[in-house]
Amino acid sequence: VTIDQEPPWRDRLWTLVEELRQADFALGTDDVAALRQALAAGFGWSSRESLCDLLVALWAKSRRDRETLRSHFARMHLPQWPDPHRSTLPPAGAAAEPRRQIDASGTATHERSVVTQGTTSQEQIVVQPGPTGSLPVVPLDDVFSNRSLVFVPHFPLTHREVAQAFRRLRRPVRFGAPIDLDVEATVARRSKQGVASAPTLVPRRRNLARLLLLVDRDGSMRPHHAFVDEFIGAVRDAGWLQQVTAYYFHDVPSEGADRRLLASLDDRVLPSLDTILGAIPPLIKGSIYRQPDLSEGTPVADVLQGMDAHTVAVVIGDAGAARRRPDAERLLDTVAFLKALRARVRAYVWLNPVPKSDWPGTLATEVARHAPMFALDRAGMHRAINVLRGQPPQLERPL
Amino acid sequence: MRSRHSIDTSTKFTPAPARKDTRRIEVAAVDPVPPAKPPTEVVRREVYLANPAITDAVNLAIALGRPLLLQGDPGCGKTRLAYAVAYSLGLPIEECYIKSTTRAQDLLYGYDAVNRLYDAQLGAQAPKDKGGRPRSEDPRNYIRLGPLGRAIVRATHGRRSVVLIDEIDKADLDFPNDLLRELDRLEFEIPESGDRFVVPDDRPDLRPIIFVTHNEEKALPTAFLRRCIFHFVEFPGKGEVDQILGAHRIEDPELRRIAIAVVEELRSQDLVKKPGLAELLDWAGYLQAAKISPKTLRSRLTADAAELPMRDAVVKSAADHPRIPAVLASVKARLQKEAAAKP
Repeated sequence: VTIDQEPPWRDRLWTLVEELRQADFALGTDDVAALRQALAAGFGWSSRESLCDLLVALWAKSRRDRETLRSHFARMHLPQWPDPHRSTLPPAGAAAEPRRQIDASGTATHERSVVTQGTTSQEQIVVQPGPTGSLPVVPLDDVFSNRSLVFVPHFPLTHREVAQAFRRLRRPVRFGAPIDLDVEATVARRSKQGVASAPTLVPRRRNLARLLLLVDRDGSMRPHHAFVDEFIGAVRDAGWLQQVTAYYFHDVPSEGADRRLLASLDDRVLPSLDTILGAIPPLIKGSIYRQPDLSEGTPVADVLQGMDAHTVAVVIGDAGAARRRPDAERLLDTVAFLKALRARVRAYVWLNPVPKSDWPGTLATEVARHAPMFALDRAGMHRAINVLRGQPPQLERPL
Repeated sequence: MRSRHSIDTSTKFTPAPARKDTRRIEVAAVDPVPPAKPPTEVVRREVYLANPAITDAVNLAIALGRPLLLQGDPGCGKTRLAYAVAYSLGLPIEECYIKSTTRAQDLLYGYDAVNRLYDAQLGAQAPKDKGGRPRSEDPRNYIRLGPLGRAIVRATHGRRSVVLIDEIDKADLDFPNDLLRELDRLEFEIPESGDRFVVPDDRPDLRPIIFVTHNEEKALPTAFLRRCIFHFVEFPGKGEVDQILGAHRIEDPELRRIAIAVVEELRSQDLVKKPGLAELLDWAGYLQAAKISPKTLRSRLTADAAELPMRDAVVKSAADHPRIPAVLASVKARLQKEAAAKP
């Protein structure tokens, strides 16, 4: 394919591939080979847009991918199209070559018109002089329709990484009408009874995993909102779970544990609940909220009541990792709530968007001694999933 | 990956609307697939206006022999495209409607072990085949090919098919991954009978043309996505919508114009369920069938006590009903503006 013989082209496409790989596109040699094949078959030559459409068809796999790819493509400097220096010919080397190849093999007539007249780059911003003749006014619509200006978010975890991790949270359970033949049970029954008997049928397996997300909101969580929202979105649409429910809270899901318990603690500066841990009763007072803006409150007790043996829970919050001020009361409430949560779900973990290196000296360290808390990064997320799948967590002082 | 090395340029989908209204096409869903002289049936033309972007995506998928993954809002014509391509190319269409319990193997074949067991237990009264032997001796008597299986077997007989895998995201997580090998190599085995069917390597023109629709309810595994050609079906632009309504025999241009204006205004609102192309076609078709003239429609939309005739055909969520007066107000402003600009 001539695209390989024209260095500017090749280099620019290669840059695009590298950029897209950084943007988490799983592009390999196969995908580049597919592009070469498609170009050789005559696709993507008629205009800049058609090349972009071809790349989208081959490499993008969702609307989000499409926007990312288009914005990277718009930033790519391709030779003007069609090339004004060669406009009398069909853009020589570039397009005529595949056409010849195909004609020579005699397998097809190449119908695509290669020269399109008057194709102009859509990325042009029309600059008009302002009414006073001083500063040029750029129409806002043009700025926003210019894809090279579209930012693509980068988070510590990509959509795909979250999706892959949460796929491991499956819980296939036989459920529904019995339609599958259980060969072993049928043979066993037949040999036991010695006469012809009806075959044993079992229901088909379905994924019954349910996930409860409890998300800390506002205050010190504010810098993490965008990332946490992205994370929840990825879990929701890529987790293939039976049901994902999210509730929001501020600082602690449940408040109002008996403060008198703290009286016996001698050191309030570095709170540690070890001495009274066993005496803290589970706590499900107060409300958590359906909406991220902390509206539509529901009693915590009602939410936990609705959970069953297939439910796992993930708490997302900084657990006080943002402040250095010790707060024994918050720790007490947190521990008391986790005790209640633990009793209602199959497994739970705490994911902390603050990096683990920032935990020491904050409440997060204390909470992590009692509860399976992991940083919200790749390694932490996978370890959290292990716990949710039933691996016992390693805790210094379990609840 | 073998079958992918060859490019198929023998078949090209061209969205030619002037084709005959019916044609004879091989009947799909016949099992076993006849090796020759298959039964045919009269198929009605699928009214579909494919824009150049869709046409290119279809042809790219055919050329490279990869499934075409179609995404887009409900009611934008993803499924209809598969029928339009099948009609235009004169190919039988094998349909796979996915349920939450569908397994990958169901698309290829099903093996009725229960019936075979029953037959085997009947002893002397057991049903016999033509040669007088008990049916239960040959596992092939209990194998039913699935839609993708039939398409592959049909290819071994030298005939091509279109395969539609509708709403793949309804299936379980493993489903797309379990199909990877079959979609890649276009071959499958039936361990129960030892049969193996392969689309010949050197015949890219026999590869089934596979459409996969996906409602974005759940993301698909990357390994599966990598093998697909992706196309997002957009809600068509204004001129295109008018053509589509025309192609669906909404004859009155004025009726089309008003219907499009209403649906565009509805779509510009943040509705729970935005009306798609399917709703527009239903609504305009019903207005035409009910003989509501453009004049009546206009006066009902712009009267002081304005109302949306046949409301439930376009606004399908009760939560959106309170928004209708606002939509009608902007429809009214728009129609008046257009009327003022006309003379």
